[in-house]
Amino acid sequence: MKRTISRILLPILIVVILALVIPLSAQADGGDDGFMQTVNGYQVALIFAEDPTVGENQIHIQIHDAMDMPVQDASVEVILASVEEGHNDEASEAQSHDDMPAMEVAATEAPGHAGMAGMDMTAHQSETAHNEMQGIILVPAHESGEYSGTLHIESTGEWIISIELTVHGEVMEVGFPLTVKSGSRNGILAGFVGINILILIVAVALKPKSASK
Amino acid sequence: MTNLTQTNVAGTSLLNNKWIKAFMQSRWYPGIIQWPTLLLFMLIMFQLVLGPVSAHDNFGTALTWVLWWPIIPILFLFLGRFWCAICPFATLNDLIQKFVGNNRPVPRFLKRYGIWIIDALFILITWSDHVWGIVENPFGSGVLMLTLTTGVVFSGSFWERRTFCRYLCFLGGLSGNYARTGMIALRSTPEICATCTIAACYKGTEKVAGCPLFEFPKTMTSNANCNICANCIKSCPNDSIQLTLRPPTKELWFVRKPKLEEAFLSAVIMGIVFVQNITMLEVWGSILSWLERVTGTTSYAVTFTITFAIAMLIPVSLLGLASWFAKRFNGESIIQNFTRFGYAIIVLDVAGHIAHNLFHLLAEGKSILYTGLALIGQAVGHDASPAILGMGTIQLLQFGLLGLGFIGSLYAAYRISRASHPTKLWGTFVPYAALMILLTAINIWLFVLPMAMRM
Repeated sequence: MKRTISRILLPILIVVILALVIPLSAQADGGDDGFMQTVNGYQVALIFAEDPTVGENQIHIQIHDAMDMPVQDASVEVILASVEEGHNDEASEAQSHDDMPAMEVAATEAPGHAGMAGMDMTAHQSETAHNEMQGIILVPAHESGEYSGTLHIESTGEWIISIELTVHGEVMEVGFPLTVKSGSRNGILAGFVGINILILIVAVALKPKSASK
Repeated sequence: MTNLTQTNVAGTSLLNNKWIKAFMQSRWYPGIIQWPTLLLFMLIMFQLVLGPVSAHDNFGTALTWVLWWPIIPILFLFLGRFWCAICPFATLNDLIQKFVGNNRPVPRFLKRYGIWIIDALFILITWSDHVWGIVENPFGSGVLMLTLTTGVVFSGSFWERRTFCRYLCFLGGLSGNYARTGMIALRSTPEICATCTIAACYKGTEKVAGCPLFEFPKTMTSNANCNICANCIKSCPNDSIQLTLRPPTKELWFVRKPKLEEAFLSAVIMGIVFVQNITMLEVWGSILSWLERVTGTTSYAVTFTITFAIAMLIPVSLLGLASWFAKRFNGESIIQNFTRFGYAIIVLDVAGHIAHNLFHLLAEGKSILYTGLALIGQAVGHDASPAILGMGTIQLLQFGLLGLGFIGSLYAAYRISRASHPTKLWGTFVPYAALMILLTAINIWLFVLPMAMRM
């Protein structure tokens, strides 16, 4: 009987442990490679130096023209705006459409669209409404056609990175949806696993002999 | 006392049916339901922690907050605290106890203040949900589950039986109260137990554990802490245990040992129902703006806390006021009246809770299917409506439930008045009747206003 129980329980325990441990190996979403879009013949690539996370993020923008030549002397401004969850789906779809005009993405994903707000539980509406757009000017980097800067992300969630380019007097805009998972998420999970393992170890150590029979 | 005796033996025991008895005495019960529930819970956890970050797309969120949370009060109404027998946290507790459990006695402070701790945790979790968006954030829901898991691991490691479920689980407090409205009662047969000296139902036997929730069926007068796990049915050598059907809410008509903390919780739950409804109304934005102007801060934590406190204070104060009026007629103190009649609100709590969550279940129910299909790569367009029923029908059902809740609470208040103050019946009853009318009116008013969806 005990063997049967062990046979049933052991795999379940292993699955439980895996369910808790596997998340530790999960990485934050959307950071290891860049994003790329084309606007008016210019190819714009957004690259995060590391996985996007809450706090300071080093970003690089590479701009190439239709002849694949790096574009110098461009003015590049990056605006980060949070979006509500309902918008995220549209944004993701927009990114998957290569021929989607980039300007439209940025224009439609601006925060504060009350029409979709009703789809979310309204408890946080006021917070969402208070989200503010933040802009930074990128400076030319060492590589030709590359611009870099530091982007501050305030919190986890869905964001739109709008990049406003001015090349030879021509103003363009592209938008990239971004999902930021907490950099501390894995830490939180690791903390839970650690605490629970510690509890179990202490329990085993303190277990009275009579109780272990 | 007569009522008590009647409660213990009333009705025909379901265990007289040999199939039901065999099932409940079998080693498959409740495991056959318990283990699949645990597996489902693990899937939910996996989704919450690793699945889509948007609640809208997360199967774990849909199963937890659109299916499980709305259904749970309905389960309490029909099956009492049966959920607690199959709850994955309880299963985890038992597993851990089996392998590393120290089985130490329950600390005295938990026995003494357990329900107050549960009250506080329940309020804290509701507050956290609104301020930090636990329901809307799958990972936040996951963290809540992991926090509960840690509590269960700790409790199961060191303390005996299901200490966590009895003295710490926030849902346990809610279910304890709601289970009193339940239609199933487990009791012993007093004549048989009178001569029993082994108390196997409480202590257990070599094959079957004792009552996990520390109940002694011989003296049980309430189903608040019975999860119908059937341990006592299996272990009693004298076939004393009875499982009977009873009218819903009957247990509230006479509570032998009313406790202030349980009465307080029932009033607090009503406040929580208020606040859950208020924050889903379109007018909530205007209320927030007004609060921001008055307080001079845009901090949602501050404005919500104020709203939450007021929402909870309303039913607590109204119950206190009714108790003050009743005191003038029946001579009992406000606290005594408050404690005794707080239980009558439970029926309206259950009705309000179900009515509120009916909206999620019926207006967002298809999201369970959509997110489930997405799991297997069959994505449904975001244009698809998650509604199972139209708002008109849902509102009709909500009003019907509130009507039943009102009748149930009113009748419970009447029966409590009759049992405790038969000579001053109307003087005692009328203030509480007014209270029930007022609470029902507030609920109806909140349900009349349009609500937003969660998913």
